[in-house]
Amino acid sequence: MTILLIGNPNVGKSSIFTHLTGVKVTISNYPGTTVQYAKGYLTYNQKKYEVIDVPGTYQIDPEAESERVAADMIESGDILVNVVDTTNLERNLNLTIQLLEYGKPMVLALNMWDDAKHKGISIDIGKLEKILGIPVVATNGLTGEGLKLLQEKITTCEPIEYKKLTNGERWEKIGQIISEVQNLSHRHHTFIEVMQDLAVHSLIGPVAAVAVLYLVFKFIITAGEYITEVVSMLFDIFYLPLIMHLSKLLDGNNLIHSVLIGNISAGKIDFEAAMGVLTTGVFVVFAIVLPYIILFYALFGFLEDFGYLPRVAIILDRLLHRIGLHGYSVIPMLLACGCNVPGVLAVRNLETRRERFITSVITCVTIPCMAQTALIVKAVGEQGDIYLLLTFTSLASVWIVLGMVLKETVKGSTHTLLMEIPPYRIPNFNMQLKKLRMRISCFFKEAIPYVLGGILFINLLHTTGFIEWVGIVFSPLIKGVMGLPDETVAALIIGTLRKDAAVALLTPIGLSSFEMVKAVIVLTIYFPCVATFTVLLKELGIKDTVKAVLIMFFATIAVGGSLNLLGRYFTPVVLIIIEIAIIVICGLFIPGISSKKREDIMDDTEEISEI
Amino acid sequence: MQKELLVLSMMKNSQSGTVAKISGGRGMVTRLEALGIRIGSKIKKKSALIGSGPVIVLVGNTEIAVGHRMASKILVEVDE
Repeated sequence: MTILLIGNPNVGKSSIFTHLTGVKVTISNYPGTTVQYAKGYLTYNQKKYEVIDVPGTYQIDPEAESERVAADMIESGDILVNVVDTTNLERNLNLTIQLLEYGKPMVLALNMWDDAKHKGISIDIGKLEKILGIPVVATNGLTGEGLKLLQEKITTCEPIEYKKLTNGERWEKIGQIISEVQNLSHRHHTFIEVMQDLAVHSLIGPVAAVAVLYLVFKFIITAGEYITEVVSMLFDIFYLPLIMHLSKLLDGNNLIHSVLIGNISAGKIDFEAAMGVLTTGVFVVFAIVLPYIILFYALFGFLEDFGYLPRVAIILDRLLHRIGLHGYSVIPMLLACGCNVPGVLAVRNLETRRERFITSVITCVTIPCMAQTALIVKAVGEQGDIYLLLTFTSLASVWIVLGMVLKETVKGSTHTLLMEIPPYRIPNFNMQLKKLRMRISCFFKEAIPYVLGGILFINLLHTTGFIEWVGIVFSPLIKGVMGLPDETVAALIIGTLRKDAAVALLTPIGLSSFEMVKAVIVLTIYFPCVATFTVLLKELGIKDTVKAVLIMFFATIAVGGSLNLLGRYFTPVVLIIIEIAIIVICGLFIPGISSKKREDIMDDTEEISEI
Repeated sequence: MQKELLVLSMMKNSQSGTVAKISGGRGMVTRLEALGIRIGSKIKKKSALIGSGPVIVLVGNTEIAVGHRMASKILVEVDE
């Protein structure tokens, strides 16, 4: 028997799913689509049921991909459990009544029952059961209240008969039901509601968003630095003697020694510069990268579940329209600040091809992942804060200029922002921990082989002389156009595997401060790391990926070249001022060459294609 | 008595009313309907982000952000 959990997005379906199924859950793609769903098992009265968490949907409309998947799944399920947000019963009932028309055994779970009580909403469950003809259970997905009763009802419910209604009749019926079962009592605004309103206030909202994002990143970087210091101290105390011992065992200058341990200067190992798999490789992963990744996902996981991220999307909507996107695209971009892979994966939630293409290109070109950021802060920070600022203002100006170019050139349409704003909710600590653990283990699986393998790989390339050869071939481009020494080639090669390891490779070269800035910017722009490239290929397809790669290539030459040129005449401070001016002018004043026309056309195409 | 008709984007904050007309294609109408915005819905404007940003409305108990361009196509009969 298969039980399907069905409901609108943001109704707490997943937490009910977790309570019903426990730990053994598999996430898979629905055949032939990019739509993901979770599957688990429930055992009740010695009977085993398969439980499927159907992707959230507002209605059954076989036109949209995710909704078509939902419709397919419902056809094949045995028992339907419709999870609704009690605080929004009216809107949720639209789906409920469409589900009743299938005539399958069905239970209605009035989730967020407690929230509704706090909001002064009460529902007459008995009356609702009688009108709908199915069992109705009040639940709280966060605490698990009501789920025992839900299980009992699920396993005993019967098929029903229901007459198919037209759209108009359905809404009329919903109006009737609501007036009979729902009771509203007036009450005062709570503190949390005041905070919700402030977050999207016309003036305070944007200022607060900038402050929140700034503080979050500031905190990650400061706390990360501190943790890195502590961890490297631990490395010195516990790991260094072990490595020294191993070094003695390997006895000096053979190949295995240089691959595993790397260079020892004056009988001491510098973990950052030694470039061995067991020294720099292990150190970069655990001491430099991991602390930042954990901090990033802990904080963003919280903001996400708390409900602040959707508000950031709304606030940045206007800015993103400048580059041919709408506010929701900011979610993949923010995720990409942690790691580009989940960022590019999240792009699939965007509605049109144009949105998906622009968002993924901008993300791959201008957004360094947290691991890379951590090493940029370390490597460039050593040269002085002004150079660090220059790095990020440069990336920001590339973001907006490239975005505006793409907006004018990429064909297709961009939808207007339209989204539900979930209320603030204090996230469940255990769920946060679970999510964090999942994301970290994902990073481990992905990062460790690439960082260790990458360092090994570059070591081998060095010994075979391949890197010198590539350096000579690309010298006109790298030295001539961008003014970088040939040695950076090694970092650029490794950057196609892991960007963080590549930045780490720049430090021992001994670049000048400005060269360092150029190198890390070029390293960010020229090509995504292999993991990101793989998902990019999967999400965009070959044709668009080739286009994306070409854009990256030309962007690298344009940005590297112009930085090199401008750097000859201006000081870093002047460069920063120029870049900030570019950002402000593009962001506020240039109206976009064809924006008015294109947006009007967009609406027409949207209408024509959907009729 | 003639009631005042305004597009959503031009309403004042905390003004409420009833949706009278949605002048968009079927795609737009369906997307709005799924979120509970259809002709006859009670709607309250809560705020609008500065510089023609999205409009925040309250429909039932749900807050919804509507892009400015879409908000300028929703006609609302404003309550007294």
